[in-house]
Order: sequence, then C-alpha cells, then structure tokens
Amino acid sequence: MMRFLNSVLVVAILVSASIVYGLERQSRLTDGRLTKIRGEIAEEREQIRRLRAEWSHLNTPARLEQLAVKHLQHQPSPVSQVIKLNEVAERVPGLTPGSGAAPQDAIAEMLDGNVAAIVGEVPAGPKEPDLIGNILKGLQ
Amino acid sequence: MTVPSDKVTFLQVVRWLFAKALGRTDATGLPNFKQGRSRGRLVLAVFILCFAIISGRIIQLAAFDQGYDRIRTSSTVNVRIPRPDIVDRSGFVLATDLRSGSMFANPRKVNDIDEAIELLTPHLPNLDVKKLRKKLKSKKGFVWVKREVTPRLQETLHDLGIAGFGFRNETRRIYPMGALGAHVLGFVDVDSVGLAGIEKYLDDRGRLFAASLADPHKAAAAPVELSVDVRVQHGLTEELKRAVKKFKAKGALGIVMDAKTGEVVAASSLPDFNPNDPKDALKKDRINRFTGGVFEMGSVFKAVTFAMAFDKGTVNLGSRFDVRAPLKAGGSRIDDFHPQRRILTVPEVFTYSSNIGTAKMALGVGIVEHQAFLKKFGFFERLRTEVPEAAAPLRPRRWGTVSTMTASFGHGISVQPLQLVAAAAALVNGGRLITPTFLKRDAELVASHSRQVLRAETSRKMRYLFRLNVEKGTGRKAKAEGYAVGGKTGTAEKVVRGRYSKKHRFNSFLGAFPMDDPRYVLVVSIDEPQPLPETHGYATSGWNAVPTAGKVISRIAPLLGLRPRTEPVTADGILNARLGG
Repeated sequence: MMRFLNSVLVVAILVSASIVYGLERQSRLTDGRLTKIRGEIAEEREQIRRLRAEWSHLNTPARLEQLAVKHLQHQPSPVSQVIKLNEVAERVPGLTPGSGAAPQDAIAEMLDGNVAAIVGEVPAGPKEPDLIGNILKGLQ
Repeated sequence: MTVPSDKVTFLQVVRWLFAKALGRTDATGLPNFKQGRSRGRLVLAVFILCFAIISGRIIQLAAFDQGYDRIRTSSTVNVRIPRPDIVDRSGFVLATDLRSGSMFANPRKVNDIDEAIELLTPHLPNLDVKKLRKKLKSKKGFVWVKREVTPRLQETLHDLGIAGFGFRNETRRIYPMGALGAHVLGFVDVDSVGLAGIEKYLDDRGRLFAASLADPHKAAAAPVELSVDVRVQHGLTEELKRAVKKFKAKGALGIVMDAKTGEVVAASSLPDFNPNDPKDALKKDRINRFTGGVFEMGSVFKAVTFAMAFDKGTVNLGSRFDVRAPLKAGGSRIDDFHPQRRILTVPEVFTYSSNIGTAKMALGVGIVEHQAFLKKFGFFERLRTEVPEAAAPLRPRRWGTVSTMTASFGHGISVQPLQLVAAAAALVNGGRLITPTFLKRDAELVASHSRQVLRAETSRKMRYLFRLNVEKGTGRKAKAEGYAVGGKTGTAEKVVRGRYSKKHRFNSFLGAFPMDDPRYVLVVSIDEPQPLPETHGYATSGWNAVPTAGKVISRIAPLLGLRPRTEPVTADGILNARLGG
C-alpha cells in the first residue's frame, strides 16, 4: 500500500514537474511573441503616422494648385454656372420637359467627350517615399 | 480530545495533530512516535498538504485572473505618451512626430574603411564619399554618417552588418505642409518643447487640454483639431502674398472667422516662416500680426462707433451731420480724407468715411459712455486665445475729448486685428460677441463663449451700412460676385518717429459675407503698400487692401461651402428684411 502510494506520488511529481515546465516554456514563448507583436504594432503605427504625414504633405494646397495648373484646364466656375436643382431641366440641352424623346443621361453624354481631358495622365510617384528627405530638401 | 501535558514540546503537538488527523492516536492521547509507518504517513500528509496548497493557488490564478491582468497593465502605464498631432478642421495633418534614425560610426572600431564605403554607397546615393572617408580616418570616437534615415533604409543598412556603425533613434517634429499656417501652429525646439503658437499652448496654458487627449493604455494621443481649414488658409495666404509683392508692402495679415461660432478658419501673417526650420521665426518682421501685434486700425474702427451710436439711440439712419468745417482737437485739427464740405446723412458719413462726422457721433454719445462701450467689446484688455502671442491693446492714459474723437475713427487706440474681427462679428451676427478660438468648437458650446453686446436692430443697421459701402462707397472693389460682400475700408497713417506719416500707411478692409445672413467675417490688412502707376499714384485702402479682400473672398467662399447666388442682395433689401439672425 505505501509502496504503491509512494510510486504514484513520484510519478505525480514527475508529471506535474514536466507540465509546469511545459507551461512555463510556453508562457515564455508566448511572452516573446507578445513582445514581438507589440514591436510590430508600434512599427506599423509609426508607419501609419509616416504615411499620414506623407499624405498630408502630398495634399499641400500649394502643390495641388501647381499640379492642377499643369495638368488640368479647369477654371474657377463663374456664378452663372451654378444653378439650383429645380433649374436643371431648363438648362440641359435636349432635356426639355414634356418631350418624350429626350436622352436619359444628357449630362453623362456631355461629359463623355471630355473624360480624357479631365483625367489626363497620372504622373508616376516616387518608389521610396522619403518624407523627411523631401521636406529637408525643400528647405535648401 | 485530550489536552497534552505541559511537558510536551510544541513540535510534539504538531506531530500529534497530524497523527490525529490520520486517525492514529494511542490511549494516552499522544502519538506513538516510534512507529515507522506512522512517520511515513506523516511525510505523506505534509506532501498532500503542500500539493493542496499549490493546486489551490493554481485554481485561484486560473479562475480570478483579473488580478494578474491588473498587475500587467499597471506596469505599462509609464510608457511615454507622444506629443499629440495637430490636424486641420478636416483632418489633414499639420504637425506630427516622426521617428527617424541617424547613422553614426565609431572610426576606431571600423576595420576596413574602403569596404565599409563600398557597402554603403549603393544605398546612400547622395553620400559624399570623400568627406566620409576623411571622417572615418579621424581618431574620433563618434562621427555622423547620415542623419534622418527612413526606417526602411535603416533596416537595410543595419542588415549590412558593418562593424563600427550604429543608429541613434530620434523623434522629430514634422510639419508636412511647411509654412502653411505657421503662425497658428508655431514651432518646437530640438527637445520638442513648444516655443510659439499652438505648440507652445500645448506645453503651457493648454497642458490640461493636451493631457486630456492622451490615452495612457495605448501610449497614444488623439490629435489636436484646429478650427483652421488648410484650403482656406492657402487661399488667403496666397492672395496676401500676391498683394505684398504687387504693392511692395512690408507685410500683410488676414483673418477669416466664422461669425456664428468664433472659430478662426484662416489666419495669415506675412512674411511667414517654415516651422520645419524655424530659424527665421524669431526675426522681428516675422511676428504674428493677427494676435501678436496691435495696430491703429484706422477707419475700419468707425464701424464700432456707428454701432455704439445706434445702440445708444443717439443717432439713427436719418440723422445728419455737418462736416463743412474741420474739428479742432487739442493742438491739431480733424479733417476728412475725401472732404465733402456739406451736411451728410449717416449712411453718407459711413460711405465717405468722414472723420468729422464720426467724431461728432462719438461726442454725441459722451466720453464716459464711449469708454464703457469699448470696454464692453474687450478693446481695453488683452485678448487671450490659444495662440499665446497676444499683445495688449494701447490706449490713451488719460481719456479726454480728443481721445474720444480720434478713437472714433481708429486712431490713438491700438488693438489686435483679431479683436476687431471678433467685434465685427458681433456687429453683423445679431449682436453677440464671441470669444475667438483657433480650436474646433462644439456648436453647443458657443453660447457659453459669447454674450449679447448689441441690440439685434443695431446689427441689422450695421449690415445695411456694410453692404451699402461695398455697393456704392469706398469698398466697391471688394465685390465678389454671388457672395454679397459688405465691409468698411480703412487707411491708417502709421506713426513714424512720433508723428503720423502721410507716406507710411496701414490699410485694411473689414468685412463679412454674405451680408443678408453673415457666415464669415474677415479682415485684410496691408502694411505700407506703395502707390503704383496702375493705382494712379494712390495707395489708399480702396486701391490695395479692398481688391485683395475681394479676391480672397471670391477664392475662399466656394471652399467654405457657400452657394453663389444670382439673385441680388441689396443694402435696402437687408434693411427692409424681417428682423432675424
């Protein structure tokens, strides 16, 4: 009886020791992974900040203005071009109220001819964005 | 249960208790310690007890692991919270912290200079090889190789694994939009401590506000949302720049403020600086002119005098003033710039900008009342906003009749331009004086930042006069088609060596739009514009500040979401409209 109990206890100690070791090892590994993922999150956050700053830099109104002048033929719209919604029917050619043959998408047709002129060529961006470099370059 | 005799030791008692727990006690009440089996059971019992305690603890940890969590979280609170970003009202980043590494080398530890340079050059195309070679040959323990390297490049360079090279991580405050809004933003020193503008506010009076944005658990901070709109700011700055260049002026300033909330949508002061490289910012001419300077604003100040006279009831739109003779004021005389030499109605006094008429109007209200009125509008105190550069107004030490006469047309009293804009908002918005702010303001909080200073009827008369002045008066060139501009012009003579100079002027346009229900007020001032051939040798406000303001409005009104209107908004229409807004 005693011998049996003793042996059971010895086995229990060995088993529990190995389980504890396993748990400890696992938790250490998990902790390592946690640290790594935290580091990655911090890195991604930093990257997001950088990209947001970059986006903002690219959206600088002065820069957009330059690009617009260079690539678009747009002009500020005069007051006469702005109409109320209920006046649309009177202004769009061919869309006279009452005439059944009016084209359904008169505005789209008007735009169609100009799409190429509106979109134009999109300039290729730099491969490696270097915001700080750009800003510092701008200072010199 | 037998109580053990007093001769028995404590240890014996413990043994006895264990034995008792196992059900083995002899007749005397004390355990039979000589039996080996009993000893074995004792050891067994101790082990079981220990295991029981350990399993109990494990169960406790497993079942109530909140305690464990708390311990972990409290240890991460000490993480440094970054300086909050600053964004414009629609979320564009105007200031942010970016981490950047700088590569350094310890020349004593570099084994092979040629190999190191050979490895580096493909990744650093702009590297000055000669200079680097010289640096690496020196006997110093530390030399910079390349400052401000992007993280990606840093990783690549790190992976090259050259001995003797390393990185230092630094945080740098970056202003992605450069000089745009520089005077509002301010700048920081090398240790990221704000030295001017909102940046200074965050470290100074706004410390609590900045702390409220922080989230210690994520080691992050919500951005500071400005009331400024970058597109409007750009439009304003660009037009001012053109004006400064065209009129060879010393400087210029412009403010656009929401007339109903007090939010400053754009504020510009020229010349400006780039906060990424703020070494110019401390030059004397780069001061923030919209709050950091006080000016004798000249005739634009007459609007305040008119509002006072209407509000006190001493004058109405039908009143007349005799402006045939200049007024005597102490040793000098007050005359008009465009002398009419006849009797003028009140709207004429406004549109001809008659000094004589306005001075008489102020005298009619009285010296004491005049001071009280100016005080009510805050013109005697330093206006405090989030931008810490705030100059205190200047006024005559002893206020007499002459002070009232000159102050009625904006001389002898110097105020921050932003103060005047806030007052103008009250003149046109139905009479509520709202404290201006550079931060986005909750519409519900406006009431707590404002107070009624004028009767709504007075405000309506002022809207009429402002509109009339752009329709027919000195402000004609501020017209912006579709946006019903109204305003008052001012050509102030600057004091040069203690005397008013005819050649040094400070020209302004103070206005609002659309005039039937003003949404925005603005001021545009040009410091010392020069006469040009195309202005027929004139350098008064109507030839420079006013057309500039007109261009600013035509440019920014669509950005502000105002619908251009084809139906006319006339001064008479405003006067006859039902009382409202």
